[in-house]
Formats: sequence, C-alpha cells, structure tokens
Amino acid sequence: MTREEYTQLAKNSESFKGMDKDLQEKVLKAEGDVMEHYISIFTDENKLLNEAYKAFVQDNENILTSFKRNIKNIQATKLKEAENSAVQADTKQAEELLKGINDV
Amino acid sequence: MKTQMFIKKNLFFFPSRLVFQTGGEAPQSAWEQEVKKVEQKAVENPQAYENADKAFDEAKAALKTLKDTAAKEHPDMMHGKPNLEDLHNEAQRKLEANKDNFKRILDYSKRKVELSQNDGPLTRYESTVEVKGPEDVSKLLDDQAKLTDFDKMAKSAGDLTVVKEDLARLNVDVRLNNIKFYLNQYYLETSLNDNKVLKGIKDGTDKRPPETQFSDLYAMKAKWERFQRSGFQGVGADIMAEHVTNGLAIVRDIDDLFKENPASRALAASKRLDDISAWLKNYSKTVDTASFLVGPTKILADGAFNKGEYEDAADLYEKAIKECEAHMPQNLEAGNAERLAAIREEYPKYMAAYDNYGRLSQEAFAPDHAPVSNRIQDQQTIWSKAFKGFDSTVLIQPVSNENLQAALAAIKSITVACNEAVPALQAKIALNGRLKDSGLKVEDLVATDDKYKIYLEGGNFNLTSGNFGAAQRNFDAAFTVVANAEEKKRAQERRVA
Repeated sequence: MTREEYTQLAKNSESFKGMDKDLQEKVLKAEGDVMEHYISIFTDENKLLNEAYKAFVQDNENILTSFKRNIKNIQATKLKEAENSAVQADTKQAEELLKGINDV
Repeated sequence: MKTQMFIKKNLFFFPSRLVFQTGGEAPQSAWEQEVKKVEQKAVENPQAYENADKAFDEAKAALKTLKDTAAKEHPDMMHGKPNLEDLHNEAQRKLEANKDNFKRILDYSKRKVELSQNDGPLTRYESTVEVKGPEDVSKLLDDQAKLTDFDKMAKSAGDLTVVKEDLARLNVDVRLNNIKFYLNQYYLETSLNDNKVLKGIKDGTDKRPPETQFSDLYAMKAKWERFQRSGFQGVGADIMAEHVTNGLAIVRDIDDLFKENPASRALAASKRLDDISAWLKNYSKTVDTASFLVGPTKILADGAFNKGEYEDAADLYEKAIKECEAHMPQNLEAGNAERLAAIREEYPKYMAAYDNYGRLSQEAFAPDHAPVSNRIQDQQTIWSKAFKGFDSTVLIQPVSNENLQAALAAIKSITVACNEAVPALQAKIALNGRLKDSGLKVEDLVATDDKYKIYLEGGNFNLTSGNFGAAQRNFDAAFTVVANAEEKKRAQERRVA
C-alpha cells in the first residue's frame, strides 16, 4: 500500500475521525510494523462497517417492503368490507323486492 | 325468478372484482417504483455507511413518498384502524431503531479501535510483560464476530465489550487468587516442615548439633511471630487465619524446647546475633552499626553465658538481636529463605496492592465514565500506584526506578500464571456464549445431565485454585454436554414437527 493509499484509508476511517489531532498525526506518520498495525485496524473496520451498512440498508429495505405489504393488506381489508357492505345492501334490496312480489 | 337471477348475478360480480384488485401481478404503481429505487440505491452506494443519517433520511423520504402515493391512490386508507398513518408511523419508528442500532455498531467499532489505539491496560500489559492474554482477547472477539452473522453481532456488540471488560476483571481476580493459592500452599508446607523439624528435635532423631538445631528454632520462631504481627487484614485473611493458629502452636512448642534447653537456646541466640551483626556490618560498609548498637548488651550476655547463666544470657542476646533487627532495612536480608520471609511480612501490603490494582483497573474499565482515552490509565502508573510502598524482592522501595523494575519483574512472574489462565477463561467464555446462543438454561442441563454441573463446578474450582489446565478441560467437557443437549433439543423439535 502506498503512502497516499494509506493516508486515504486512514482519513476514510470512522475511528480515525474520532481521534484527537495528535493521535491522527502519529497515525499518519507511522511506518513499518506500526503502519501495518494501523492498516489492519482500518481495513478490519472498513470490512466490519461495510457489512454493517449492508445489513442496515437491507433492514431499511425490509421495513419498506413490510410497509408495502401492510398497505396491500389494508386495501384487501377495505375491499372485503366494501364487498360485505354491498352484499348486505343487495340482500336487503332483494328481500324488499321479494317482499313486494309476495305482497302482490 | 327475476330476484334470484339478480342475486346470483351480483354475488358472482363481487368475487371477480376482488380477484381483479388483489390477485396476480398488477402493473407497478408509483410507490412500488419508489421501493425499487431505494433497493437500487442500496446496491449502487455501498459506501454510504459513512453517513448513516443520510441513508436514514433517504429511507424515511422513500417511506413518506410511499405513504403519500398510497394515500393519493387510496384515500379511504387514511381512515379506520389500522390506517395508513399508523402504518407509516410504525415503519418510521422501525427505521429509527434500525439507524440507532447501526450507530451503535459505529460507536462500538470506534471504541474498539480506540481501546487499541490508547494502549489500554490489557494492551500495555501485553507489551510490558509479554502476556498473551490480550491477543487472545482480540482473537476471541474476532472469532465471535466471524462466527456470528453481522446482525447478531450488532445486537451483541455491547456483550462483546462486556466480555472484554469481564476478562480484564477476571485476569485480576485470577492473579489475586493465584497469590492467595501460592501463599496458602507456602504456609501449609512451611508449617508441615517446621512441625517435622520440631518433632525431630524432640524425639532425638535430629542428630545435628544443638546450636544448629536451635538456630533453626530461632528462625522459625521469628518467622511465625512476624507472620502473626502482620495481621492479614482484608483479602486473604480467611485463608491465613488457620495458618496463624498453626504458627502460634509452633511458637509455643519452640518456647517449651527453649525452657528445657537454656544452654542450647543461648548458644543459638549468640550465633544468630553474630550472623545479624555481620550482615549489618557488611550492609553499612563504613560503620560497625551492630557493635555500636549492641556492643554493651553483647558484653553482658557473653559474661552471663560464661558464668553458666544461660537463660539470662539468652535473654540478653535476644534483646541485642531485636535491636539489630529494628535497625535493619526492611526486607533486605539476603538469601532465598529471607526473601520468602520478606514476602510473608509484606503480604498484607501485597494484598492491599492487588486490591488497589483491581480497583484502579475496574475504574479504568468502568462504563459510563468520560471518554475511554481519559479513563484508561497508563498501566505502569497503575502498577506503581498500586505497589507504592510495597517491597517486592520482592525488593521495592518507594520512588526507586530499580525497585519499580523489580516490582515489574515480580508482576511478570505472577503473570505467567495469568497466561496459563487465559485459555481456561476463553473456554469458560465460549461455554457461556454457547449456552446463551442455544437458549438452554443451566437448570435444563443439570436436570438432564448431572455431568454438566460437575464439569462446571470443577472448572470454576480449578480456575480459582490456579489449576488452569484442569479448568479448561472441565469447561470443554461442559461444552460437550451443552452441544449434546442442543442436539437432543433439535431432535425433539424435529419429532414435534
């Protein structure tokens, strides 16, 4: 990893952003094994957070999908209610018609 | 007939309308397209974790669009229970919870790295005294992360931190217990040996010259009297009380022997006074402190001895010995036996130091304090604070770098036991993790397999007593019991299904 790549890796790191200035400077100036140590920390962090992010977005997506499903369920419920209401109205109307016929 | 046809016609009409509205794949509505957009965005922008708020806002906006579109297309859904508004609020609450959870992961990640960056006690401990423990802790954490899917890990991120903190505390406990164990063993063995010597002198099987025998008795008596004086307050007092009783019995036996053999006692006292005087002279280099301090007393004692007044002579020699001892630098006597004596005498301070260390470590790890970087103290500072005033050759004197190094060396030797303890602790933590994941309760296992309790208790006992290899084996065996119980549970579930 080049120095530029290392610097970029560090600057993209959430943990690096949270460090105080002195520590940030120390990290950016690191060499050899120490630099390798930080690379491993930042790389692990990236991997961890990438996976976390995927899970995060997936959960958001699941919530939206669930919302969509719930809307469909409500629609179905409303339609069912409308059907029942219409059937009851028609039945009543039919009964009245029958009553009228019988009366005749 | 006309009416029947009307009803038939209308009843058939409604189901066909229902199928049309809800069955099959209807063309995508505007809000369905919004969902697709969100899904697509997630794939295209994997780096968006850098801004969880932004991702959350996007999802929230998509949710609102879905709601608005649905409300526009189906205004009747805004009424009744549950209505569109309720559903929207519930979904939004879930999105917020999801964001909070993700932020906890971010915080955990930061904290994990921060711990590493700041050379917390565990890390520094590792670098100072070559403890394998912290590496094992990290490995343990990493292994757990690999073993668990990320969602699960996110939920247990707090637990993992707790594991690390617990391990640190356990390390302190184990070291403490190890010292207690060592001292317990030491006093047990010492009292057995001393009683053996006493028996040999009493029954005549000890064929050494009387002055040598009584010299030993003097040393033994002094040792047990020091031990008695040291008090043993606080940690360790329980296990030491019995040894104090044993020691006092030994001292009484020695006093009886002294009364029965005043000449031998006086000779031994004289020899001991000579030894201590020589040591003091060597220590002070330029001034014959012993001659200066006890010269007159010694002359009187020698005179009494020469007149055959052995008891008076012995009393005078002992008086001189006490004067010398009072002026000897504490715990700087040479030789292994004296080093052990020093450890014994310093034991209360040692235990206090460990208590202090434990307290400081726990403070350093305690949750809900201000930033970790401020909380975690330099390990060496902790040790030097904890061991201030503790002579560790244990040789330490306050403010001396040499003594600090000696203390660290002593700590290192104690830490060897800690290294051995780590695999056992890992086995215990892994066992707890397995039990937690399996959803099994300890009571379930004890009810179905008594071995579990035996293994677990054996593991805990061995961990406390310092037999870490046995502890690890016990926990591994308990692990197997849990695995078997899990298998049984699964088989039962399969049968039920």
